[in-house]
Amino acid sequence: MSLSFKEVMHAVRALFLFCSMCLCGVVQAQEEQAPSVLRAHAVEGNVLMLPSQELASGEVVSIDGVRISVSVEGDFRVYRATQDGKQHQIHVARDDTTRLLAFDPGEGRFRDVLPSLRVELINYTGLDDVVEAAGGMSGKVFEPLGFAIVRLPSGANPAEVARTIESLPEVVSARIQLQGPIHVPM
Amino acid sequence: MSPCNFYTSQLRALILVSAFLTHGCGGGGGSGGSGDSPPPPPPEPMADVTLSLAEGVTELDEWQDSTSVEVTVTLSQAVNGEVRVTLGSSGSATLGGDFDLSETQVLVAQGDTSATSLITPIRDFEEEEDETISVEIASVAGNGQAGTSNSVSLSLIDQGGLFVGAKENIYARLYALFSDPLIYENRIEFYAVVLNVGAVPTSETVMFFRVSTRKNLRNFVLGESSVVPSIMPGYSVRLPFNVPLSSLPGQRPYYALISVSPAEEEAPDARARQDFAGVAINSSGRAQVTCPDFERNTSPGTEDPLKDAQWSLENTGQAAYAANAGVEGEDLGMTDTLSGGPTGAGVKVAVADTGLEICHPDLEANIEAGASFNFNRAYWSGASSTDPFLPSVYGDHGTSVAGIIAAESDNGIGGRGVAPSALLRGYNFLSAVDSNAGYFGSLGGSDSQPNSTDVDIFNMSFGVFGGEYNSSSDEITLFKEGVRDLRSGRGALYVKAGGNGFGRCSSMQRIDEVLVGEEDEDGDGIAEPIYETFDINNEIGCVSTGSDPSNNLPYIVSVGAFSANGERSSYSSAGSGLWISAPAGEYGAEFPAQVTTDQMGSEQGYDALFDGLVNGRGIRSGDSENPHGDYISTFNGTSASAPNASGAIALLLEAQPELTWRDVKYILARTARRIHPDIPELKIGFGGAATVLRHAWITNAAGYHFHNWYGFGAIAVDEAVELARSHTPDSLGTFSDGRHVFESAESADIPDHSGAGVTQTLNVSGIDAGLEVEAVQLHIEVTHPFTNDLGVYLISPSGTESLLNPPFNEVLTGDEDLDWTLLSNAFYGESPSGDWTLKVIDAAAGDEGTLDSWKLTFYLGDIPPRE
Repeated sequence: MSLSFKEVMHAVRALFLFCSMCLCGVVQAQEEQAPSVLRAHAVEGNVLMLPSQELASGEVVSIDGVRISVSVEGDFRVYRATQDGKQHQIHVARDDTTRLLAFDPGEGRFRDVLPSLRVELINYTGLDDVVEAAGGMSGKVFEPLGFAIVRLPSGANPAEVARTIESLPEVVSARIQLQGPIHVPM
Repeated sequence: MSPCNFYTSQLRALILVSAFLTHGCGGGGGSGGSGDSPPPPPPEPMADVTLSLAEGVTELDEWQDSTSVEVTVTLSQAVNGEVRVTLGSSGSATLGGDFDLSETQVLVAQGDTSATSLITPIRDFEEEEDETISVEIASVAGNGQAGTSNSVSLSLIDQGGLFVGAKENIYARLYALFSDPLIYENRIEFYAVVLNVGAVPTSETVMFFRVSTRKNLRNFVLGESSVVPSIMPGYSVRLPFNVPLSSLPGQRPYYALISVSPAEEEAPDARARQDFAGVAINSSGRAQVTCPDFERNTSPGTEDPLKDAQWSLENTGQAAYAANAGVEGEDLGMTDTLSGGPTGAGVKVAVADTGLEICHPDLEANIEAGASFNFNRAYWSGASSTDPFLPSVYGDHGTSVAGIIAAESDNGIGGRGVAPSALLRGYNFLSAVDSNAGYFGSLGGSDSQPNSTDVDIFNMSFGVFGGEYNSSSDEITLFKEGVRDLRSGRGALYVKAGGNGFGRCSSMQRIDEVLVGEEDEDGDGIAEPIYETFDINNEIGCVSTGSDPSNNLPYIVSVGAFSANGERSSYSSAGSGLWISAPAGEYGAEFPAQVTTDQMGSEQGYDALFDGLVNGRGIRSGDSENPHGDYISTFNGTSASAPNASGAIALLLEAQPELTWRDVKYILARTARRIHPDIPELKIGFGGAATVLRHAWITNAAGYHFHNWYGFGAIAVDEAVELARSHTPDSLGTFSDGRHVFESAESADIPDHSGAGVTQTLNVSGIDAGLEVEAVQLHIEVTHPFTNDLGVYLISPSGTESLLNPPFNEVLTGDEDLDWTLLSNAFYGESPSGDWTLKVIDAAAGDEGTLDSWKLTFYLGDIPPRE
C-alpha cells in the first residue's frame, strides 16, 4: 500500500509533534508550572493562551520569559504581562464571558482569540467527526483555501481543544485563530 | 573663462596660434601664421551675459514655497547660435537644501536676448538665522561671456523650527463602536467596543448606553452607564449591555446610543465619541431580523427622480442637495454609456459588507435569488440564511453601497446605479459574530453556504483602522486563488476602498504657527504680527493606504475618492497602493456627497439620524423624490468610491466578458483621466537636505500617469468600455506572480533628521526581456524607536520615484521597528531590470535607527506602454 504525500507529511508531523511535546515537557519542568496559561499554535506563530478566569490571588505565572497575572479589579478582569521589563495590560469586562485572549511573545502584545479553530485535515469528508471530537458547534470547509474552521461553543478554550484534536489521525494541524485587524465600513 | 573663448577679438585672433599651442584648444580659428593664408573669418559677435531679479525683490520667505522669484538671464545683444548659461550658488542658503532653481542651465535661443530660471524656497524644519541666496553665472557656452552683473542675491527669511516638541504632545484617542449584537428570542445583547487608536494609555472614563423610542434620541426608555477602564494603545475593551425585549414594548423601532467621554489624555479638542444602533420590534414582539414587507410602487419605464442629483454619473454642476455645486464633467465619464451602452447585465457583484436589504424596491429586481448569505443566522433568532438583513435601524452601509452599484434604472423611484442591470448579492461579514469565517466566506473562499466562487466582482467597501499590519498567509491565498481560479480562470475583481485616513491625525500633530505678515489690528499705530497655523499632515495626509494590509496586495483594485469639484475627497487616503479613483464626494452639506439607497422607511436608515441631514442639508424623508425615506444624499467615504468603480467594472465585463482581472486593471489604468492635474510638488528640507513629501503627477517610463492621491487617475468609463471592446482578452502574457524576489541584508544607519536619508541599491537582473512591472512589493525591516519619523521611497531603474510610506504616518506614532510589506503601482509597465534604489529618511530629530534589510517582490506581465 502506498502512502499519499499528505499521509507521509502527517506521519512526519506526528513524529515532530511527539518530539516537540517531549521538549516542551523539559522546558516546562524547568519553569513554574502554569496549568492555566497554555502554549498554543496560531497560524502567525506560537502564543500563550490565557485563562478566562482570574488566577489565584497574587499568583504570577512565568512562561517563555513572560510573567503573567490575572486579577479582578472592579467590574473587570485585568490581564498583565511583563516581557523584557515592559508591562502590557488589558481589561476584560467580568460579564463578557466570550472574550478570549492570548499573549503573543513575538509581537509583544495581547491578542484577541477567536472562538474557533483553523484545522487542516487529510480528507475534509471527516470534518464532522473532528467537530464532534472538538465539542464544536459546526464546521465549515474552505476547500479552495485548504483549511476548515471549527466553531467552538462559548466557554471552550481553543488551545485545549486544539491539543485534543491534534491527536486525531485525520488532523494535519489545528491552530487557534488570532483576531486580525478589525474590518470596519469605510 | 574657458580657453576655447579666446578668439573673441582681433587681438585674440592674432594670438590664436599661441593660444592653441598653450591650451591645446581644438576647432575654429586659423590654420597657421603663414602670410599666404587667407585672412581669418570675421569674428562672431559676442554678448555680455548678466543676471537680474525683478525690481524691488530683496527677500523670500522660506514658507512661501508656492511663490517663485524669477532670475532673468539677459544678453547684451542677440548672437548667432544659442547661449547656454550655467548657474551656481554661493550664499549661505544651499541649492537643493534651502531653495531650488527651476533651471540650472538656462538656454537663450538664437535671436533671443533673455531667458529665465525660477528660485523657489524650500520649507525646512530648522531654527536658524535668515540666510542669503546667491545665484551667479558659473559658465557660459556659445557666443557670450559673463558681464559685470553676474550674480544676484536675496535674503531667505527663516520661519523658525517647525514641529519642535511634537513628540512631547502625543495623545490617546478613543473610538466607540457598536459591534454585532446577539439577538435572542427574548433579549438582545448589545456590545460596545471602545478602542484606543492613539499612542498613549487612556485614563478611566465613563460610557453611557441609552435606548430611546425617538430617533432624535430623546425620551430614553433605558439607560445605563459603565466604567471604561484604562486602555493601552492599540487595545480595546468590550462592554456588554443586556436588553430584555419585554422592556421594548410595541411594534416600533428603538434607537440605541453609546457615548464615551473623552479621556484626559486625549487632545484638548477631543469630544465625546458616539455610535448608534437600535432595533425594530415586529408584530410578534421580536426583533426584526428579516427584510420587512413594506409597500412600495414602482413605475417601469419612468425616469428615476433622483437621477439628476447623481453627479457621479453625469456632473452638470448640480449641487445634489448641498450648498455648493460641483464642476461640470468631474464624474465617471460615462455620457456615451448612459445613452445605450452596457448596463452590467449578467455580471455578478457581491457586496461584502454590513448587510443588504434584498427587498429594497430599488434593489430587489437585481438581487440574485438565494445567493446572499447571513453569517449571523445562528446568532440572530429568526434570521434567514439567505437574507443578510441588518437589524440595526441607523443605516445599513451595505444597502447604500449596493445602490451605487446597481440600483434599478427607470423604475420611477430613487436614482440608478452605475450598472443598473448587474446582479447583486449581499454577504454581511462586517456584522458577523464570526467575522473571520465571514471574511473568507464572502470573498470567494467558500463554495457552499455561501457559494462565493461564482462571483465576478467583490465590492469591499471596508478597511481597518490602520497599523503596521501584514496580510496573513491565508488572506494572501484567498486573493491569489480568487484571481487565478474564479470566473473560469479569468479571475475575480476585488474592488476595495482605499481608506478614509487622510485627515485622521488623532494622536500626534505636527503643527506650527508661522508668521505670515503684520497688521495694525487694534489701531494703535503699531503693526502686530499675524500668524497662521500650519499642519504638515494637512498637506501629505495622516494615514496612508499602505496602513491597510490588503491594499498592499497586487490582486486588489484599491480605489481612492474624489469630489464633485474634481479634487481628492478630503478624507481619501493617499498611497502608492491606489489603483484608480472614483467619485464619492464630501459630506453632502457644503459640497455634494452620494445620492443612494438607504434602509427603507423614514424611521430606519441613515435618514433616521438627524433626518438624514448634515448641518440641515440633504434630501429629506417626505420630499417628493423621497416620499418614504428610502434614500439619502449624504453617503460618502471611499466606501462610496469603491462601488462606483465596481459598477464601472461591471460595465466592462458586460462589454467584453472574456476580460481577465489583469485586463480590467490594465484598461482602467490605460484609460484613466489625469484628474486634478496641477497638484504641486511639496518639498521639505530636513537637516539641510530636501526631500519630496508629495509628488506632482508623475509619468513613468512606460507612459502611465500616477499620483499617490489618485492612482492612475479618475475612471473614464466611456474610454474604458471602448478599449474593453477592442482589447484582446488575456493578451497581457503570463502573470509572474511574485516569483522574482531580490533581497538586500546590508545593515545601514538611517541618519537622524536628514532629508538625504540612507540609500541602498539592488540590482535586478535575469528577468526575461518583455516582462514588465505590474506591481512591486517592498518588504522592509528597520530597527527604530519611533517609526513615525520615517519616510520610505523606492526609485526604479528608469528613475521613477514612489513614496511608499510618508513620514509622519499617524499609524506609526509610538511604533517601534518596521517589519512591513508595502506595495507600489507607480512602476506599471516599466522594465524591472536594472538598479532599484531604496531611500529611507528620518524626518524628525531625537530617535535613531538602522535599515536592517529589504526585499523586492515583482509581479510581472507583458504590459503595453501608454502612448
